[in-house]
Amino acid sequence: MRCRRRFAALVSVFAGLTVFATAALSQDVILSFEWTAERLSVPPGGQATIGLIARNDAVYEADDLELEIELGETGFEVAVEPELLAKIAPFGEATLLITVRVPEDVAEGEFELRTDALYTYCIEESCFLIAEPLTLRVVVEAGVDPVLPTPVAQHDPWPPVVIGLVLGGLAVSLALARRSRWRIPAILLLTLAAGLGLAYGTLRTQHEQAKSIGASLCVSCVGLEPTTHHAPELTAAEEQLLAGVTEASELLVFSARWCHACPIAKAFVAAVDEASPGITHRVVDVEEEPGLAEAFGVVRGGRTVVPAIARVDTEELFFGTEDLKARLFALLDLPAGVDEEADR
Amino acid sequence: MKLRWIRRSTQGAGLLLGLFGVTGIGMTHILFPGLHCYACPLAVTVCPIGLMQNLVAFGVVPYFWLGALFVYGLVAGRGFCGWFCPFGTLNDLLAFRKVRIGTWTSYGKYVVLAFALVGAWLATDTLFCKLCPAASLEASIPFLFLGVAKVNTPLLVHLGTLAGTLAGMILIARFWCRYLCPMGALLSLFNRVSLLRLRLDPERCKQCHACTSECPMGIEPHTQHDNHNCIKCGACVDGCKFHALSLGFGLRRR
Repeated sequence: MRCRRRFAALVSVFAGLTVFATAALSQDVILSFEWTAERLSVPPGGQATIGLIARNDAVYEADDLELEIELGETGFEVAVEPELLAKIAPFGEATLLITVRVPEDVAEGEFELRTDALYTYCIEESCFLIAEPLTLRVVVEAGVDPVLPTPVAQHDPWPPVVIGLVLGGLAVSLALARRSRWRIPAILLLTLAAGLGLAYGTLRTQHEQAKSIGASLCVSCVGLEPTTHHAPELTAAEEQLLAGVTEASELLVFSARWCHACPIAKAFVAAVDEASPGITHRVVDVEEEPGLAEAFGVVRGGRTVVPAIARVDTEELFFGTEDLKARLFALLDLPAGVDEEADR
Repeated sequence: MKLRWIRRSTQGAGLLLGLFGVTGIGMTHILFPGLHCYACPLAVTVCPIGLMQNLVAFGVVPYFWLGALFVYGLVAGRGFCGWFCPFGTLNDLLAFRKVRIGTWTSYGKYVVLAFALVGAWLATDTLFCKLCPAASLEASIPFLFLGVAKVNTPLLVHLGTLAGTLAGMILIARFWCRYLCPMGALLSLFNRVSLLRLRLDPERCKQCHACTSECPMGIEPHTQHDNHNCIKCGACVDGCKFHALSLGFGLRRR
């Protein structure tokens, strides 16, 4: 009897320690972070955008991801989009866009901004708050391109390398395996590879990515308009004109994560918003607010067309980034070609 | 029943799936087993070539895409080109001249596939989509009428590639499928192992070359029945009066 009690006590202590140790060990980072560029180059008085890719390498869902960026005495202004990311699915990933605006009078040089990525995750009843320290490097330099063309795009060599190796290997091995006795083993191996690819891809929510890429039509991606790499810049005369717009007017920028031209539209509308006391804007993710996209006529023929810029009070909108400045000014009932008038 | 009539019905099903968006179900997770632009207003499936380019541009290793490709390849290989693909059906409708032109040119489709892959990586953009004649037909023209696209340089480029492709289809049967289709290039890798196979009974074959004159892809089915260009359409099966060729699903080679 005594032995049994001792054994039960030992088992309880061991079980308790195991639970505690598991919880303690589990309080670990589950997201890995990667900047889309090594550093962010911004001219004095300009702004630029960088992407932060958050990858969830765990089987648990990461919740409420937000960034805390220490700006100190730099005088920079920072906007993060989205400000709060509600969740990242197991094996999923998401990208935050960080736009840094630098004042005119800042000294040129490199600045390191301490950034904490805060998020939570739960294992059954136990939830953990994680603060992952990161560093955002900002280089203030005159004459650099103020906006990255596509902040979330990158030259990651792995996708083409993996596709090339898989398809090349397949072509060579099937060309060499001419004997009929290789046929059934080859079919079995390929079936296994197909199953693994689909299962792992689904775990990484790639089926959702496929659907979301297919559902939103990015106008420059299929060649409905020329590809734009830079947001237009406002001239001094245009900034002066916008500064005189005091009547309240809200713009909606409809965008999607996979849209190549959306960062251009967002950057330019943000610059117009900044220059005018009356104009405000909001970025609408068409996947998160499909009803709003439908209501404003952004859905055409079953496809959600992005980028689209809509004016809320008149419900007028236009698609794409071709002649962006002229079309946005027309949407706002502002005269085009103010520079020529100023020259005269 | 002749294979041709069964094939017309499956090609009709492919067209219907391509236009299924009219039911309002919206985009699904399914990859289309052929070349069909996902920007098409009525598409409910994702174009594999467009998806590949987007994932490469955004730095995603496409496991799901590879898995789906392997499934389609194993089931029918290029059989989807002959039996299902809407753009293949358009090729079929314009296949007036079943000519044979140098075999090396048929490797052009691998160059187009490499261009789509490497171009997406280098330019972080979907370069092939801007030239794709399927996108011209299924996206550029419809969206011009829907008030999204305008008459601009990209539209003229699209119309140019479409006109060139249509002219090629009229002059050479299955011109796009033979020489340029990147989706055909992907599926052709599986032609040797796919479950849908063209089989030859050598004892019945009289070497009359009737199958060769029937083949829209310009190959010799009685000697090259697992050729990367064979779309398993069955034209050779219908054309062989000695019943030396047959088409069917099976694990065994012959």
